[in-house]
Amino acid sequence: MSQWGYVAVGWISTYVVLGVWFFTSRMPKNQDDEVTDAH
Amino acid sequence: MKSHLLPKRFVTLLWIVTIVALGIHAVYSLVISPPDAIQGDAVRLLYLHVPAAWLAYLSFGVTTVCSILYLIPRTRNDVYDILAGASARAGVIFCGLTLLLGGLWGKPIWGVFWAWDARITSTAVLFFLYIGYLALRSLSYTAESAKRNAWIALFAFIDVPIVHFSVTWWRTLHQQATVFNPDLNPHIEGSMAASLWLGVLAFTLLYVVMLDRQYRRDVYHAIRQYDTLDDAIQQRIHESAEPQTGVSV
Repeated sequence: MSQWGYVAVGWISTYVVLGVWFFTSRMPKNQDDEVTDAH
Repeated sequence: MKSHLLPKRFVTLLWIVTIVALGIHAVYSLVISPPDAIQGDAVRLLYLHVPAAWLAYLSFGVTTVCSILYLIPRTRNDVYDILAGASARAGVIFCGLTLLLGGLWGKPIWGVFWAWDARITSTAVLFFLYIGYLALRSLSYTAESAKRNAWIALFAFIDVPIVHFSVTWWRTLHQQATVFNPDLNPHIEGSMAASLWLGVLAFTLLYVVMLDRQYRRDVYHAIRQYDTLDDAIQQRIHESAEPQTGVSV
């Protein structure tokens, strides 16, 4: 693989990892801030 | 317990600034900065690898400080326990990225994805130590387990100075500290320096928004678990108060 190939894999995987984190760290649906504010 | 680490409007603004910073960083690193004279285009991986490694240190450092604050009775607060977990989660992501990007850089430059040298191996140990810490945290939310987790976080942090000084304590394939090494005093010029420092800035902003997002989610789960336990206790009290029927001695 060329150097640009490794660069592409690295950059794409970084943003895939961050994207997976973003979607898995969402608050559950319909659980707005009042739930936690009530405490 | 505080449900938000940062004010909501500020977080929205911070997300916008973070995304813009990440975008500018990508343009500088992939388009504007030139290939390195020796490493060629592979240097573009270092603009992610180095900031990710520094942010892993920072994240685990915050986990350690919060764990100490939780262990001191005078400063003990559930907020510190949850922050410690949230920061460790961000740290694991940054540490995992450091390993991945380091391997991808190593293949074209060293000829191997992986070598059992002190820096790389101790970084992998660090990654798995905090994976274990997060796994233990997910078992329960009691005050006792929070104290136990805080001690484990302190234990795990012992590996951070080992990772950092591994390149000076042992002969390693990984190069010694470069950017802040007074003996080398490296001059990173123009757009290459901008790519590196923009990466540090963008990842630091990203860390703050990650911390806030994870904190909110962890507070929600802690409260839910507490409510479930509270409901179970109330139900048990209610059951024991009911008159027993059909029992004769």
